Amino acid sequence: MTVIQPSGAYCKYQVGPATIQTLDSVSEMRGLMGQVVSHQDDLESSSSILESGMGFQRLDLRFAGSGNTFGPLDKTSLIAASLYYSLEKGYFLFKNLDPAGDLNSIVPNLRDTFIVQNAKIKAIPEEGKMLSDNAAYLQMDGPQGPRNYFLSFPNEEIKTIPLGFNAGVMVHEFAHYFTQYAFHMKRSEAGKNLTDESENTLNAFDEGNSDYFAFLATRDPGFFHCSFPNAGDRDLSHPKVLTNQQLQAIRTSVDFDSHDGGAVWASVQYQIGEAIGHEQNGQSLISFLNRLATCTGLSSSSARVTFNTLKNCHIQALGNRATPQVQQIYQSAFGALGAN
Amino acid sequence: MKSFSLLITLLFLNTPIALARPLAPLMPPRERASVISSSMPTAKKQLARSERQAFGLETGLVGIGNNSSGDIAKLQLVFGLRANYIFPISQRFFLKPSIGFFLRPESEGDVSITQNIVESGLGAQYALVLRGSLMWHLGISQHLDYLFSRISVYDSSAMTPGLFRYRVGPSTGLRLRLGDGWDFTSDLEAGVIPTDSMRTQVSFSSGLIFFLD
Repeated sequence: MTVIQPSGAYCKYQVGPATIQTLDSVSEMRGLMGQVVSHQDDLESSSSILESGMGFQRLDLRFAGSGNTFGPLDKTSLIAASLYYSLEKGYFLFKNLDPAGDLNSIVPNLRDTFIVQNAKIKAIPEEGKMLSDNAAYLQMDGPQGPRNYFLSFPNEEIKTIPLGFNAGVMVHEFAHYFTQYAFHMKRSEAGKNLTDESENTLNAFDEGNSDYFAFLATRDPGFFHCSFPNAGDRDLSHPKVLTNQQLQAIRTSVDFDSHDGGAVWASVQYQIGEAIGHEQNGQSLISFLNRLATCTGLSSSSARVTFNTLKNCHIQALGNRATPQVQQIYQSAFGALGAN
Repeated sequence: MKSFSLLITLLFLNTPIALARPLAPLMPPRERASVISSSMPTAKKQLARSERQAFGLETGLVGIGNNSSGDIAKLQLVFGLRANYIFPISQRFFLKPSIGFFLRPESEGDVSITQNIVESGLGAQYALVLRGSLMWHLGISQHLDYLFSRISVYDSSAMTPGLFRYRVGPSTGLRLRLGDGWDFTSDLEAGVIPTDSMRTQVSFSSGLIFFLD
């Protein structure tokens, strides 16, 4: 399939053939990762839409080619193919790093995932303005159990690589999907009832961890800036430290942005990967995610979660790969603040 | 008295007025071939516009049915040029082979995709109305299209594989006389693509026709 794909260097993208292995139907863009669909309404205009998956429609896609070689003929089809390709890239990244990362053996209805192109959701429910230039993973509890969605919002202001073509951004969302099943769904009711501070810490970690997997998939530590060149520093290769200001935002939820603290976690993982090998670190993080609910105690009770809690769980998962250099990287980034 | 009446009748019938009407051929309609009697060998045979060979150049658009990303009325519009040849078969029937090239550029950020259609067509048309300087024709058109797209991002680009596609459907058109040697033409075609779930496709083109004879 001809798609837009990252080529490894900083924000370098190319057009080229890519193998998409899990498609059942090219014309419907449907397979193991789910189906690329659209919905004409605001997804939050009725609870039945996301809870039951009502009203989603297959896209009218056009591809040229035959056998194993296809190319999208129009923009809608190109975005649809790129979305599916990016998510599959995330799927194989996790699966190949560790068999325990195979989402197909964890999510019973993986094929029912809806990958929503041009998703419509109001930015603020009371206002008419719709969300744009963003992407999200979303899980909703419905009558038939949890339903999973990837939402790709319309592109309005991005002049470089729109998010639907940014493989890093979609793998980032895929990592949220994995974290949801590996960690969040293993939290007990008590474990879900945390203070804002603990919940904010977990959200920040979730964002940073997803950024690191996005880097692993694209090998581009600046993948985020390919779409947002002027946004705050989310380049993983730039070392970052947890600041008092960030910690204050985590504690109070005032001006809190989970991506800020997340950028620190992501840069730490990047440095650890540079030290011990990114594949080894990726494997350790899958193991860490699978054990995180137990390690933090959230599988059975409520507990306070700090960056130090997360660090200790990761060190545990690293085992003998947790070299003094790794400890030092954590110390430099979190210092004494990580325990607060 | 009887002889006088016969004489008067013969004299009357011999006047040019009396004799001309029943013998002279009716004037042919302006748009039809003038059947000039062999007694006027120097007159040039005039052909109706439907009977004349012509070459046409048209600009137009193709609307491809698409439920997800139509520009207007659920149609993706592809713009281009078409050249055609008009080959008369009879007084009112003519064939209209054509070739055309249409494209539709789309972009999002630094990513662009241009859809290309190279078409070859053959239409069979019947001139339903030939009145004054107007001709209205109706018929059937079929096209064999070759589709491919060019995708680009930054300095990288690639062509998709190509796709052949056959479409067929009714067509109609109007021609308006602009001068002795040329007409304005407008053509409308509608069709379905049997190999693509009967996807609908319409096209509209306008341009000039230049007579070759």
